[in-house]
Amino acid sequence: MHLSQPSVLVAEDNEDIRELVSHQLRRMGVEVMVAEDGRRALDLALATRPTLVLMDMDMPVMSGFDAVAALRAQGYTGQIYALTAYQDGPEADRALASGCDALLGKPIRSDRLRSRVAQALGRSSEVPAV
Amino acid sequence: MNAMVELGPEDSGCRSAPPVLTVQVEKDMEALVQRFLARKRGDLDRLRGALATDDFETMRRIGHDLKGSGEAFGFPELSGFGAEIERAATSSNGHALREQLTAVEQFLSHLRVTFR
Repeated sequence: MHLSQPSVLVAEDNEDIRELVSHQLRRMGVEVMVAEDGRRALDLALATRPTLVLMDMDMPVMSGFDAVAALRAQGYTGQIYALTAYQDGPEADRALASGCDALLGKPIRSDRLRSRVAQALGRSSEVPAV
Repeated sequence: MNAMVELGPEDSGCRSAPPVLTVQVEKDMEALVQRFLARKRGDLDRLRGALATDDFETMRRIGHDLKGSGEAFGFPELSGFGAEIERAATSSNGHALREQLTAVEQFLSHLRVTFR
């Protein structure tokens, strides 16, 4: 299945964050899919080819690092943003090395989230984060 | 999320009443925030159970998740408690865990959320 409109896969094992991010994205009119571990995220992303993947890097079953590397190895060319508390240092470097395009910092700030996703989807209507 | 926080007496006519933490969040977030707080109250039960059995990994995970989500929902205090719980669980410090459990209980019991 390939989705025809912009879509975002939210891969996050923290149910609270998964709900919050999904809620904010749906407010933007974005099609949202969710996965609660890296394995599920990998399968779902390969099956649906979302425009953007927001990937928590610390997840059970399969880590975000491994899921991203597998996605890239299997030809996924969409954008992947790492959801991580680390904006620099080894964890950030590892996220980018695994195939992430950018980092989206935790704790999640809704205005920053919407702004970054709008950028990734090529939209300009969202107010940029201050 | 825009949130406004006020700390004040629960009842201005009663000097010994515990303070109430009032947090104001967007109406659009009401259902989401209510579900979040209900889950956090459920986490208290899970923490008590884990403490009773020295299940430090469960406590570490609960703390980690609380650290990651509290501030995102407009409750930075919960993120602080979560970080302390994660730290205490990692070092198998039951005493610190009991203190943090009490702190979270008190915070949630004094919390009043309004929606605008």
